[in-house]
Amino acid sequence: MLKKVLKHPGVLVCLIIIVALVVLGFIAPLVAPHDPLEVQANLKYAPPSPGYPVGNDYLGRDVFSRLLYGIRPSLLWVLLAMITINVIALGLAMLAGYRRRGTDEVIMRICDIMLSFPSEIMVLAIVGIIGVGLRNILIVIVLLGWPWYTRVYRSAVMKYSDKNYVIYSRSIGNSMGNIMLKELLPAVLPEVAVIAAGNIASLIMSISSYSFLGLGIQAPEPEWGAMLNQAKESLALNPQQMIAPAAVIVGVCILFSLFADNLRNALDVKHVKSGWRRKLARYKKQKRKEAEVK
Amino acid sequence: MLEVKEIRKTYRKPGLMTTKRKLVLDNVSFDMSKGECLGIIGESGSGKSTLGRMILGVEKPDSGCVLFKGNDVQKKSARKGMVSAVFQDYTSSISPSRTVSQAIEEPLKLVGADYDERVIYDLLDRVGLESKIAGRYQHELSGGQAQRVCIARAVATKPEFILLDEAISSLDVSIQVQVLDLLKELKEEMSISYLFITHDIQAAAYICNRLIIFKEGRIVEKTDISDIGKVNDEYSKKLFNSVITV
Ligand SMILES: Nc1ncnc2c1ncn2[C@@H]1O[C@H](COP(=O)(O)OP(=O)(O)O)[C@@H](O)[C@H]1O
Ligand SMILES: [Mg+2]
Repeated sequence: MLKKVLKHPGVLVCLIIIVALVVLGFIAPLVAPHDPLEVQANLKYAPPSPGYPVGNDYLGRDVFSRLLYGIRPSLLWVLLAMITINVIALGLAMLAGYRRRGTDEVIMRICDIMLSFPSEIMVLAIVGIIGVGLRNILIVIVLLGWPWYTRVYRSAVMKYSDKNYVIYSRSIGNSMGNIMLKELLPAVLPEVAVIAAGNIASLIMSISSYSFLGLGIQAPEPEWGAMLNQAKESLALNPQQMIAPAAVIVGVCILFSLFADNLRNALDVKHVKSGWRRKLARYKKQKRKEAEVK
Repeated sequence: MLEVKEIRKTYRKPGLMTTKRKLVLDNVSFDMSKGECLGIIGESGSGKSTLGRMILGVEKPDSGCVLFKGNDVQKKSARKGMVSAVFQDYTSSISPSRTVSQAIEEPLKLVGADYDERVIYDLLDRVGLESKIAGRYQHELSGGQAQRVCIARAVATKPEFILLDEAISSLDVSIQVQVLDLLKELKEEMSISYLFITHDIQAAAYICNRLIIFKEGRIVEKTDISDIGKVNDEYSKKLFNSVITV
């Protein structure tokens, strides 16, 4: 399955960019041209210059270096939160969707209870209690995030656990763990991957917006949402300050959405050729026919 | 070999407020001996597939039990390597992420059998498929091919009992006969018992030694194939007559 996915050009390109970003996030201290916290009063609001490719912020700090350092909280930690949420949700969804009856009932009622609280308000309330900071925001997001995913994945698991090949697998005496790992997981993984990749964009947005509101990462640490927040302060006089962090956030969100889209196509077994290839094949065939006619 | 003892099964009726349950299987009991082919005939919705799931041990009856060689089929160890199944809907019988050979390997792996490619090719050959099919996925197979792969998979571990739930009903008539003949041959060769669930009385008569007529979750008639002229039950009479007049 993995091999086939990697053969898909769209997935491959997106994945390379994502991996490159992740690596950049890890090695930010090595590649960043400047210290992201270094204040240089003479470079306040400076436009892009050779040493500072995207200019400087209101304290004269290098925006480019800050963007690089911002990958870690804005992207890596969000990815980690998303993975945690998905592991919890997938585990529970498989139990609920496969065991049904009592197990399902208990897990779903817990989800219902969790989902009955409006999540934005819960985030504010819990962060109000345990304090602001990126770590706390992430913990709260994981705590509040899994029920929704559990519900979605459960219905996918249910759909597949009624399939004949799962019933066959059970009837010949496979254990529950085996069926979950070998039958249900490969079956739901495409849906999970698409949903998770599609929602990463919104999670990045929400982490950034919590930082924007001042609940997430605290100044002076660089984070994309927080950078946007700081740029907002000088919106009237230096609107160009918004461009870099906003572009990066939007760019990464688009990247993950494209990744999700391509992943869906690549994981669909019946989707043998992507659109342009099919068109190309049809075009070639037509050309060949024309040649024969001549 | 297989004993079905007073099975009852109810399902909750759809709807939020109802606690009423629908009786799908009502006191079903029968026995099956080794090497036998028993047909269960009933119209659709009469609970045949539900009975099949009970016999395979994938669903629990409300009361009663199914014993395979004296052990409850609810226990996996009672079924491992000895029980298998072929279903009607061949499109969902093979996992879409598996190739034909991976599908056939599944039961072999489960029982820890020693096997290689040749075993798979032999099995494919046995059900009349070419070995070049081994690398294909389910959506690249025709109905007859897919159902043959399912049969190959079912007989791979030389089980003693196979449940065939409408196994030929979705196939074209000409292919139905071929598959029935194949099933007959395999039965002779490996002395497998079949439980042949169908709504097609002719197909059942073609392959079975014994028939059970099933209606609304109840057994209305048990008869040997040689005695189908002598049935007492009204519904069964009507059923058999309709075939004879055709
Ligand atoms: N999982 C289920 N939940 C609720 N009702 C079911 C379920 N499975 C089967 N039924 C009901 O049981 C009856 C018998 O179904 P089934 O065993 O599939 O019949 P057959 O295979 O003879 O066509 C049908 O009326 C169906 O609606
Ligand atoms: Mg049925």
